[in-house]
Amino acid sequence: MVRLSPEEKIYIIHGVEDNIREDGRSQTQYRPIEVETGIIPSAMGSARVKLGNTDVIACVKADTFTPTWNKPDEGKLQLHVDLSATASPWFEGRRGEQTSEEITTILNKAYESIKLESFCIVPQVKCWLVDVDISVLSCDGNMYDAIGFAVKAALATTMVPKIVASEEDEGEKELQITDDPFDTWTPNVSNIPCLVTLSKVGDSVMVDATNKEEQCSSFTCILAVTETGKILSTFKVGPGSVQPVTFSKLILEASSIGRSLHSELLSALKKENGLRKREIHGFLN
Amino acid sequence: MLTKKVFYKQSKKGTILKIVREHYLRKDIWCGCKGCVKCALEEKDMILDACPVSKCSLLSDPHYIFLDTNAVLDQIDAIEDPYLENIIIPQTVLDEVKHRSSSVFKRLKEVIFDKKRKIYVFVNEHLKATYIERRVGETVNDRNDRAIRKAATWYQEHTGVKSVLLSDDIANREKAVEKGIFAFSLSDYAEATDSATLSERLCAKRWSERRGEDSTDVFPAHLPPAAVHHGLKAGLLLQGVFYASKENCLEATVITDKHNVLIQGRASLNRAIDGDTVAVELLPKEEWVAPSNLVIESEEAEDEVKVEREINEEERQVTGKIVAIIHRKWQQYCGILQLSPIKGHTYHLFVPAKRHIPKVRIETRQGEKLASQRLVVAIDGWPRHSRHPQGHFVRALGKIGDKETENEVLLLEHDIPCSKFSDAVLADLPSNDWTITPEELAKRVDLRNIIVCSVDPPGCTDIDDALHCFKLPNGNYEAGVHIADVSHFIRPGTALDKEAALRATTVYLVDKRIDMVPDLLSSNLCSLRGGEERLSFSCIWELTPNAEIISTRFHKSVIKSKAAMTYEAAQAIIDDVSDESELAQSLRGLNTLAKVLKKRRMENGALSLASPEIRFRVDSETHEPLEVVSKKMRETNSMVEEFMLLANVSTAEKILEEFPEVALLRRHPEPPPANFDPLIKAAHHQGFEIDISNSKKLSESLDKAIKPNDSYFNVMLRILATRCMLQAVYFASGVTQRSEFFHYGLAAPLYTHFTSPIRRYSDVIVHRLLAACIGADATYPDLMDKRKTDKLCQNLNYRKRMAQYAGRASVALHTHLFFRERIENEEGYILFVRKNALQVLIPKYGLEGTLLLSSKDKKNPSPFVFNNDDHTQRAGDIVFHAFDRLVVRLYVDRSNVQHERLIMNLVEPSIPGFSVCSLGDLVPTEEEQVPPPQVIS
Amino acid sequence: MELLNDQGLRLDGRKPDELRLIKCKLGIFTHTDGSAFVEQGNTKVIAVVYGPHEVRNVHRAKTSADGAFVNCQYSMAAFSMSERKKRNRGDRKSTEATIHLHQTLAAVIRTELMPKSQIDVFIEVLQSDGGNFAASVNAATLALIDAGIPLREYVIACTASLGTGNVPMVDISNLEESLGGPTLTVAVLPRSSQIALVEMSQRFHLDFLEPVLKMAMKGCDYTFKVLDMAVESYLSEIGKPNNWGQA
Repeated sequence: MVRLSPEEKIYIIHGVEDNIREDGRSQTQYRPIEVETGIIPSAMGSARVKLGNTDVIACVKADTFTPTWNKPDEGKLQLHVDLSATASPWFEGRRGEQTSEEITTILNKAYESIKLESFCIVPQVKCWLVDVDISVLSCDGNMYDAIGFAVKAALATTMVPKIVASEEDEGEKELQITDDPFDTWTPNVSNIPCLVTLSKVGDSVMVDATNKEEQCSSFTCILAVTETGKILSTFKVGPGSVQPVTFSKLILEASSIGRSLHSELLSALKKENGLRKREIHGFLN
Repeated sequence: MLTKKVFYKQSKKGTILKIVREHYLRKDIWCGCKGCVKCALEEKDMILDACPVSKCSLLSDPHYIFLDTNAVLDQIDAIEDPYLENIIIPQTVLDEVKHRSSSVFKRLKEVIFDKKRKIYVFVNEHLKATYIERRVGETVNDRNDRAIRKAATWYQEHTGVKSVLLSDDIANREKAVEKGIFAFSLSDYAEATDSATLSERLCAKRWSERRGEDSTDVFPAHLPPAAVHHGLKAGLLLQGVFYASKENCLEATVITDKHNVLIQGRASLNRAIDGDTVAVELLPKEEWVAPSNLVIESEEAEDEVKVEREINEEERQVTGKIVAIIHRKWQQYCGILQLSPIKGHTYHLFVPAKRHIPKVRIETRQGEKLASQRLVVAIDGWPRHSRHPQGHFVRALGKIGDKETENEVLLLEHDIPCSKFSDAVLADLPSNDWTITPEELAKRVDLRNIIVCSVDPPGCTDIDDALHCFKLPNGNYEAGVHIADVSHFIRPGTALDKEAALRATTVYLVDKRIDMVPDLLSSNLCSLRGGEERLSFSCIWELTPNAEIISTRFHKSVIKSKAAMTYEAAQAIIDDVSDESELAQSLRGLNTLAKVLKKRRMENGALSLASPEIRFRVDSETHEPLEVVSKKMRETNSMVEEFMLLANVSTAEKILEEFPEVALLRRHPEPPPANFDPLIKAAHHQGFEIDISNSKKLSESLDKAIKPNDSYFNVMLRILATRCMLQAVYFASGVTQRSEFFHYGLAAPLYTHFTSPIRRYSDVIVHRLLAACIGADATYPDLMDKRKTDKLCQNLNYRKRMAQYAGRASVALHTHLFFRERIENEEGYILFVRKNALQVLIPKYGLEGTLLLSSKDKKNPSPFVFNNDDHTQRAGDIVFHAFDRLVVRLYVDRSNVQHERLIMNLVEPSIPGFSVCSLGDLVPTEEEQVPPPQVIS
Repeated sequence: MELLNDQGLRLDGRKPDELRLIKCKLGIFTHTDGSAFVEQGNTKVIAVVYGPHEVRNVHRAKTSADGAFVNCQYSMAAFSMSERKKRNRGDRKSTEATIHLHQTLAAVIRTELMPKSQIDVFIEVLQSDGGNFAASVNAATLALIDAGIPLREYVIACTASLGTGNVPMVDISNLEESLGGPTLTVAVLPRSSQIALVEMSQRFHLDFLEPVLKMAMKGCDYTFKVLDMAVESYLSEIGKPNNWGQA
């Protein structure tokens, strides 16, 4: 990570305030977002998201578990973040693991309030436990938005073999996966949020901050926004504070940005789905 | 060109996994037809005729035959018939067959290997033009059927010769016809040929479509698999192995984890056949019964036999009924044909030689011809409406009563693989003029100049061990055991290896030996014959004169045995004081050490047990037994034995140390004390106490139990003690508790088999392990897999047991042949006193038989009363105890063609109304026991 | 399952001496000094190189006046195998691979030219289907070339094993690895045909070592050709503005 001098910081801050950022974007403009799903064929669902030079892969693996008595029909969604040393030498060894754990905790909090009734197979007997592993391969700011995008894209294209519960007897239900590889279940992602990170620089608020811009931000807040624009959770990273009025403004802003992000993602996925026999390019182009 | 195979599976833990595998598609897969110009075929790959002439009247054009999976699985007997040629087997079929039945797969591979059959395996799954992807909503079977049709279509276009698909699946045939391929069922095709044997060998599966005359449902329906699964899970049903009673065909036991469940009556037995894995449902406690103790042999009469019997409450056993067959263990059975009473009828009943296997209905047009033959029949199925299972004729063995035929029956009954070694196996052998190459010699220790000799029974051609011994300058001895290096010739994974692993052991019959490995190895290249250079695996010790081991080393070597001697000859050399040759000194050294070793072993509590061993002196021309002689023990026997034991123990220690998880060892569990009851009771009655607290005590108390006036008494005690023992078994060290490694009989903490690799597969594995230990050979995955080793051990144990039984059966067969022409009165001893019989041992013949005391004749009840406490039978003032001496009359009862039986009648002590008179008067007192009026031709 | 069927094909349809399909690309990231992606069959690996740069504080003790310190890390993504991996790095297998990687790369990097500096080579296995380490070495070579680190020559790795009937097979897939016998991994310097590393998964009989080693080296040679072509086309691509590679 390159440290900035005070002069550089001032240059960046002024750029944001003037709505012409260092790379020419406006305050609410994202860098080009590239999404490619199915990049890891051995995962049940996967997506790679490139947000400028930020590069994230999310992979889904589903398994079954026996739900607890108080939530008999709720599945689980677990996210795990790994900051690869390829993203920065800073993440090498134990330090990378620690940071990964911190981010994992924050992320899981953000997704905690999602109701997962659609992840239920047989109430009280078996529900889906969906693990999403996220590898951050390259990081140039706004990692959370990229992750949120990748998670949703991966889940939306996940195919899990269906579980067939054979007819009930006096004993337990027997659950088995089908032998037809086309007979699959895809999680309903309509209530899976996108993450929108807003950074306050000087008096202005911007989206999709780069690494450099993040260093100039005095306050950064991440909001989980649903397709309908509802805010599921908010959390703040880094130092700094804001006025309550500013915060309400942030929420309104995030809601509208989130809605448009969702619609763009969904239309992109739809388009991709329409391509028959799509070749997976991954890192080869 | 590359594609991916994606499928999901559940791991053992239940985790759902997505598996992605690469699948490469090629263009260089050829058609295998002679003279094909489109393919770059080599000579050896040209298997199919360019113009395959039709042998079937359904289609006169030349055509290639495509086999569908179901045709192979159901009709492998017919496919083995050499009549059909120019067959193409798509890889799809081969894989499916492999997946579904390993035994059929093996047979199919044998057929493919036979070049005369012109069978070509077409790797359609990797040819770009014939590979197909599974479609959405398509089952695996449908996809595979489509792949087979695609292959057939491709051939038709590629070669211009017609393809004929033989399939029993109507839907598949219809779809093939749509694609322009001829398709028939294998049976229709076979019947349209002029082969006499082909259609006979068809499986009777299609019978289920046409019902028999008596089409009422005889049996209750079996539960569907899902219901069975739930029942087992919920504990409502029990799973177990079905063992039919040998005496009563309407009774059986199912051995489950929890109980031994008694099954009685035809409906309860519900079509289970001995060996099947079944699901049983227990009956309510009020309906529990006791074993009937009745002997019911004929199935026809059975319904009338309804025994009104008081059932003692204590006798009641857990009783159940069979609700489903989980796994059929049908084999091929041998027996005879019981011709249909209706003349010209083609349905006949087949009577298996094993009495606990039900009669089988078969269809054959050669009924008259087969009536005098022993047959092999395979069971195809048992529909609910049929009283008998349905099967088909496989082959005829020969004339009933012929020694050859009977021998073959004996082998089949004991499931002993005895077919000739296949071409694939023989191809793995070294050439006839094999010699040791200089490279091989360089890798081994050269022991050719050491005085090595072998000592074996007379006439032994498979010599697997040789010995040497000499004094070292420091006063110690160097002794070595050299074992034939069989693992040098049998390489893991070859057809030869697989065959040997299947056979597991060489089987010795009285007049025949069924080799585990082909003759070239067993009697030549591996046999350590005198004066010939042979490869061996040596175990060499430095021993003090007191036989303490200073050091042990193992290496592969080359030896040249100076002499292959008999026990007798070796004994003579040792005893000849004037003989000072190196060989004599070597033998004496070995003998001295062996005595010390034996003494120490005995002190440690090794048991010296006995079994009546006899040999037949067989007429060299007719091969009929002339005389029975019991085997003689010499010092040299024990000399060889001691060194073999020592080598085995040393090897066991070495391989366990190196491979703690996968060492193949042999253990002999300590028998439960209750097993010794008959021995203790019998000895107690004779005034001796047997201490069974451990093997040492047992050994000592057996040593003490000597009657000065009766030398045979001690032998009998030992025979009895042997009967109390459990079977010694092979096991993999990784799947057994360390505390159970012990070998009780030998009082050895560790034991294995190393010394007879020519005739035991266990030793081959041990050789490989040992070779890997010393870096002389490579390991391979299966050798390092404890589950696989465990599975192998189970087969080894099974085969060994069967070989033992077969050996005994062979002795029995020869005893029968021997007694066919004579009736003798012989001295015998009571071994056991049973409820309705005495188990009698005839020392002269080493023969054991049952002297029936009970009487089936209601008017003339048996005079005997059984006392359960002291195991005696009393008739008036005559009491029979174990070890009592008797005189019995021996003769062969030939009234039952299937089961000739050796009958014993009591002569002395004389009991009026029961015993028979002296030899002169040959009128037995009971009618059933009248020897039949002479030979049945 | 048999490694080689009677028709001489492996389970995935290859012949014993055929490699899986190799695809690779250099310069996949902009934030690093060097990066590369290598795909051998279903095995996919990313390699990233940072440096040479000043020795970082954590490695201060490894500073040497004789040459650069080569710092490696081999890690497998949690999703790289069919079953989720709980730990990405630091387990026994990864540590072992890290050490081997260091040994292999140390044989080709001209560290003596860069005293008192550090070079980081980080590997991330994205999908694992056998021969992970070999693919990692190949990816590392490409990433080092991309970073412009002075190398003696390429270092290329390949695996080989024994199939049914002791036929040597090259480039072992995961399925073959799990079914088969010992797998031999060899890293060679193809131009001078020297061996940089030999690693075996099980004991191996001496008699088989030579044919298997030969097979693996043959695989290395072929892999080298593929990678060399990739490097050439990459260099002519990025050098186009300066008329590189044009006479």
